Amino acid sequence: MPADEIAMLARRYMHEYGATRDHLFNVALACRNRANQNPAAMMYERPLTREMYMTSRWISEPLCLFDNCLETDGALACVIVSKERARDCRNTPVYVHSAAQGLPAQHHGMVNYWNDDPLTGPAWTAARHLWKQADFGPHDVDVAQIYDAFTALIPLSLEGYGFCGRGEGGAFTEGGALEMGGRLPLNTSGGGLSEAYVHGFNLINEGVKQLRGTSTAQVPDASTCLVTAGEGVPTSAILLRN
Amino acid sequence: MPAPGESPSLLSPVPDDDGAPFWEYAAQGELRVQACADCGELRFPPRPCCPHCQSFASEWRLMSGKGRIWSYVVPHPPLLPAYAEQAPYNVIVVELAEAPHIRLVGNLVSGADASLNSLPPERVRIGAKVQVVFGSTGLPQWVRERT
Repeated sequence: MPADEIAMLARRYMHEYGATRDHLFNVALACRNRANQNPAAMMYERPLTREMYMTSRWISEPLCLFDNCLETDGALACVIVSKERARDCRNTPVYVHSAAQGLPAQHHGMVNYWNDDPLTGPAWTAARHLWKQADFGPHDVDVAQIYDAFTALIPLSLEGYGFCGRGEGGAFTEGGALEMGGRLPLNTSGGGLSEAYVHGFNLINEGVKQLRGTSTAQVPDASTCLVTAGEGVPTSAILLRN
Repeated sequence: MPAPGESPSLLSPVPDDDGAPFWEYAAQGELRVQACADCGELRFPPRPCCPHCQSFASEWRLMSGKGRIWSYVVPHPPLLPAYAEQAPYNVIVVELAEAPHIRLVGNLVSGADASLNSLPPERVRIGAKVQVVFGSTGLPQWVRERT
């Protein structure tokens, strides 16, 4: 059911802005490549090829098997303390620089088809508050952990959080932009698509690891990280920094 | 009531107080959308208060039943058994001619009471003009508009 709802947005997005299945594949591949570096990832030893992606079974067209996240039983924890208390802890602290929740006016249920532009979702609302409280912007983000229950959420989120313009999220994924060394390394543990689907909580922990320098796919000298919850549905986001 | 030949286990709407009139009109073959009785703004899904002027007075306005396909998907199994039997079929979101921001979910079918898979998915196009039809289930379905 959520797959169908997001597939509906994905089809419209592809129609309106010329995004392609190759763009969605770029997202799936980046996540899988990072999972292949992460021994704790469910897909650690399972590389993905374009051939596998393009010939996989449909779930809800235009989304195929590899556009959908894993199903995982898992548990994670995140300890939040004051800045003063954090100084005395054993591990290097990572700071919540900005946090925001987003729900557009009159948003109903999960995905809301009843506004002027359903492709402009809660990420836009959350982003406004997130950046308002921050002293850096999208172009200063070193690494991103963007909620990926479905690949199509990534181009929408990239636009919503200001990494590119309206309709440019598909093209943003080209040229290895989401890979290590790319413009914005994405979901460096493998994310919900390839590490584990724990409702996005693992994205928070991976953001912390990046800023501590302990990720299995470490972005050199990462000092800022965006972590988001899902686009299309009521959402939230944080900016982490060390 | 399920249509003849249709699986009885296809899901039926579960109306709430706000949405009940929508289904009552649909059962009579009318597509009506809730509108503010003060400022006239259409709204969907049905709810007590007008988001435009905050009035609680509402009425149900008759629509032409014409619209365009805004987007569509083709679900594949695993699905509920009655749906899996008919997969692959299309699910469309239609924007209404009178109010494009009001979008209704349904299926593009060959006629009232036709099966979900009565049209091949490759016949579905974004932007195609469609017209509402009501079968014996009272569920709004869509057919291609005849010009």
